[in-house]
Amino acid sequence: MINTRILTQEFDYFAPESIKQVVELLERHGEGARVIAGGTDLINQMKEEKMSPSCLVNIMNVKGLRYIKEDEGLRIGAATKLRDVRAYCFKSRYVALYEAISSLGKPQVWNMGTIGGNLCNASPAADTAPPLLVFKARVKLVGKDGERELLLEDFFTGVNSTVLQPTELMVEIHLDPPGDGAGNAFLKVARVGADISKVSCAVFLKRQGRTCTECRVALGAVAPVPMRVKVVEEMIEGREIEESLVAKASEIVSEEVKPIDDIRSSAEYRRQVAAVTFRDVFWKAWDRAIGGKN
Amino acid sequence: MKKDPKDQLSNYEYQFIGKPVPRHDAWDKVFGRTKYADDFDMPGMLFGKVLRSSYPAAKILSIDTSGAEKMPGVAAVLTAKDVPNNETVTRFGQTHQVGGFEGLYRVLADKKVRFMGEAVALVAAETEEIAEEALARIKVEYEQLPGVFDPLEAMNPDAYQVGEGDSNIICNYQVRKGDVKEGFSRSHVVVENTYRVPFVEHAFLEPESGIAWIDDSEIITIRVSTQVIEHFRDVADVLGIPHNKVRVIAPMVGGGFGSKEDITVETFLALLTWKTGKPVKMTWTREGSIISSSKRHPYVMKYKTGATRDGKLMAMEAQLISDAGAHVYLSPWVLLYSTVDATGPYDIPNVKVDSYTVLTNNTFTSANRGFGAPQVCFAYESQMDELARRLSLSPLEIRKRNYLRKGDALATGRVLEYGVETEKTAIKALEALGEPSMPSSPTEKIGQGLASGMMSYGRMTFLHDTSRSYVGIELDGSVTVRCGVQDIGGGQASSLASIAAEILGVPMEEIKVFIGDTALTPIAGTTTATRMLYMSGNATLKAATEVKKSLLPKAAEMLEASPEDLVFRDKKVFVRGAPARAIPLADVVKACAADGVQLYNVAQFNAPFRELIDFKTGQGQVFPDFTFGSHAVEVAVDTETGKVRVLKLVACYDVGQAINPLSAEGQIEGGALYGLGYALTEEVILDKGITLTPSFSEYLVPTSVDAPHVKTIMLESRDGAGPFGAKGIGEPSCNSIAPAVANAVANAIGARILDLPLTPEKILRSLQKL
Repeated sequence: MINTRILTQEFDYFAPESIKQVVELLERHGEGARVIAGGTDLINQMKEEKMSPSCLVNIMNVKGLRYIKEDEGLRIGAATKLRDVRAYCFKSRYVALYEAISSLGKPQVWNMGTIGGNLCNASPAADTAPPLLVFKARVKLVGKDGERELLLEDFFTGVNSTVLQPTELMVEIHLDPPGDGAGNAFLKVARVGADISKVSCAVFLKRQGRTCTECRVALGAVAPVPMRVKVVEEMIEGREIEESLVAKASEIVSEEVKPIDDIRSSAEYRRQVAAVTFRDVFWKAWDRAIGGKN
Repeated sequence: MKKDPKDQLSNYEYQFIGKPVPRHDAWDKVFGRTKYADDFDMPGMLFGKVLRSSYPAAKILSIDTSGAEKMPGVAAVLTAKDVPNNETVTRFGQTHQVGGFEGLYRVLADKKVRFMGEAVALVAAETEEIAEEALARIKVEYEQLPGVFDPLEAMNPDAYQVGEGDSNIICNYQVRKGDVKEGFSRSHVVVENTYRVPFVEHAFLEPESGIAWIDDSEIITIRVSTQVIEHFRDVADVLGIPHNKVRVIAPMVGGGFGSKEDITVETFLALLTWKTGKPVKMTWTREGSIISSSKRHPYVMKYKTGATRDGKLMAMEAQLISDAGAHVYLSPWVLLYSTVDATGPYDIPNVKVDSYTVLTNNTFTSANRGFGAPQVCFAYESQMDELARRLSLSPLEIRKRNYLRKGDALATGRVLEYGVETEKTAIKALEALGEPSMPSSPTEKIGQGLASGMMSYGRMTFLHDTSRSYVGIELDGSVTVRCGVQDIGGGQASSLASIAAEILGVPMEEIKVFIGDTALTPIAGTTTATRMLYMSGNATLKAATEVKKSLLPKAAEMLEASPEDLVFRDKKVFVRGAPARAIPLADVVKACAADGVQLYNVAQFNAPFRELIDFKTGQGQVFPDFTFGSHAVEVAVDTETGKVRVLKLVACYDVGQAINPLSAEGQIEGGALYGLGYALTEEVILDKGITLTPSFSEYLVPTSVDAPHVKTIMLESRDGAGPFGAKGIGEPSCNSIAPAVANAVANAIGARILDLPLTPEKILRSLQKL
């Protein structure tokens, strides 16, 4: 039986202070090496023996990985604690991210977990993913061959899998500036107050009067990866917003998601509730959008 | 407040009883200073681990422990052949052996495994890591067997046999009163439904844990988180040594809820320390605990209830089938509780109950807060609301027309001789609930629900239950209580201090209560069955009263007054009506000591002793008394997501007499939340014997953010069998919450869900949206 009170595995442990050293260590220890940040996912996976790294590289002492700054949008160091991101995003133009983190566990998790960790773990239900997807976040990865930047939607490849190479480290998440007339929101459906999502949804939009000029929709826990629903975005963008349009869009959301049955819920429930959640989030974002008249 | 003229004590204005006092142990718990079982270490201590079965049903062909034994740091590897008395037959009741339903148990599995978490081998090693590795090196060869996982299927005569007997049915009870056929024929409406309730985990904060060592005089001493220190006898029997060579100590327990009523780590620890001669510690992981410890019984309950046009119940027929899991444990007794409680607190002229408990290859089920009462309460209270709806009566009205009252008889013939205030609790609970709130959105529906319930306190009378307590007064007037209670967080120790303080007029801070040690405290029985205040409270009351009596003649002489005019208060003795004529209590004690007056008393309290009831008719007395109460809740149901929010929750109970209202309120709030999880989220899901919900990530208890404000209303009839007229509240407080929520949801959405928990998925399905 698995013993969650202790870590029975043997592994090497390093706590380097620079990105360069992290990359060197990852290269030296090869496939068995894993980066550890807050450890809120990884330690559990190790205790449950779902993961048996031969080497852990702790990045929490690395200088220059924990920051939040406005610079052509918002730049967040990958090892920034969820607590700090949450505090920053409260009443900001990125309120959906605040709402997502607030719904993700409770202070114990916010104090340990990092935003990069939530993404790199690549759970289909990662709560920070839908808001970051709708903010058109790009992630910056550093590896032995240098640096690359890609859209977050191209980062996830499947359940717990990403494009991240064994020798690569996520260093920054870069969100687009929202611009004028923008509104955003996040909602999730879960079983109790601190719980993994059954369905989560984030919407970012811009409005001019009654017209939605830009719209992005992302959902979590309804497919192998957190997903954008571009069909819905296209049917809304440039249109005057009416209840019937949003209702129609909700139906499309329901058709587009690819949920599964699991211990937390059923596929049919997720499909149904994804539509409702999208609709509620959309209206919330719509009401929040500045520059428009209701 | 009603006063019983028989009770002379009710003439007092109490000084401590009924006064809200923060518990003496509260701050220690808040600051983490309380030492629970796992907080104890000893030099040279080994770590014990259990190897558990890999299959829910299998033959054990061979066990090879050589790989584990060879490992450096491994001190012992034990299998069934190493246990002196591996097979024991448990009888229920520590002092009085009763016939029937004897369960055969093996400390470690031999020949056959019956469920996924069954213990197969034990290891003791120098570190927890080595112990884990050693477990992995034990080679067990199994031959998988088909098993049976559904109790209804298991009842078939040709079903797979879980045990070694010739039937999976452990036992069957019947209650027969009047003629149900006749009753239904005279009913205007008859409601028939089948209800299902799931396996439930106890979810205490502190998992099973203990440490054992052999002391200087060769006594095997076990310091363990338990509700029953008296298991020292069972441990000694397994080892084949005299009972007085095993000592069990219970430190403060981090929650029991029934799962620490059966033996958990005790025997394993005793075997490992006996084999190695070294201290051994064992603490189960949460996953290990959920997979291998007892669960609350799932039931399938077929109910048929008939009433006249004006709502008078005419007949009730119930068939109850409970899943006992892989071993007998307390299933027959849990079933008996359900059987007696099956009618609920209602007077029904014609009753027929047939109940069965059945072995399967699921995790075994045993005691869980409520002990069979909450399952049937969900069914009978859902039935009451369905009848009310069909008859266009209010839920309160139909209940008022049927509540049992003091002096009435249950379907089992037992006449209720103590207070029965169910109607008052229902009226007060609904009053406090108030008018329905406004929905916060067009798709939200508001509903209100009421449910009443009854549950016994005190053990079954044929177990001939007893408790003992020592009260002694020291030369400085301070007081020592010694009583073998296990304090599982309900304030069991603190309430004894209140009682001694009240009788001897000594402040709470000067009372020391020593608890939970079979070598040093008089045996007080189990902290189960909501019996501790009733039994040990009465024993302590008796002992304290005797001590006071022995001091009276000397005090009267010193004060030149008659003994009946003396008052003990504030560590003084004075003459009633003349507080100036006072002497310090310590002076009286010293004078008594000089005269050779006995300054202590050990009192025994015996519950009423009855014999086994007739299992074919159910007629007879099973319990000393019952606690009655009601829950009223208001919910908001989101008809698009199926989510239920509990907006208001009122719990109203007749507690007889609250010894410490803060503690009683804590029990009632805790009970409400315990029941709320049952109503909405909690379910141990097993797939062919395999637990799919082994941690709190899958198994969901309400968290602090899910908890609504619980409004508690305590009625005090002073008409219970406990000290000062108290009734028990620990278990009854969780009884009627799930049906109250179910009734509120039905009221909100106009559809009834017959299975717990009321998940959003089920709600959408019943709204035909899925």
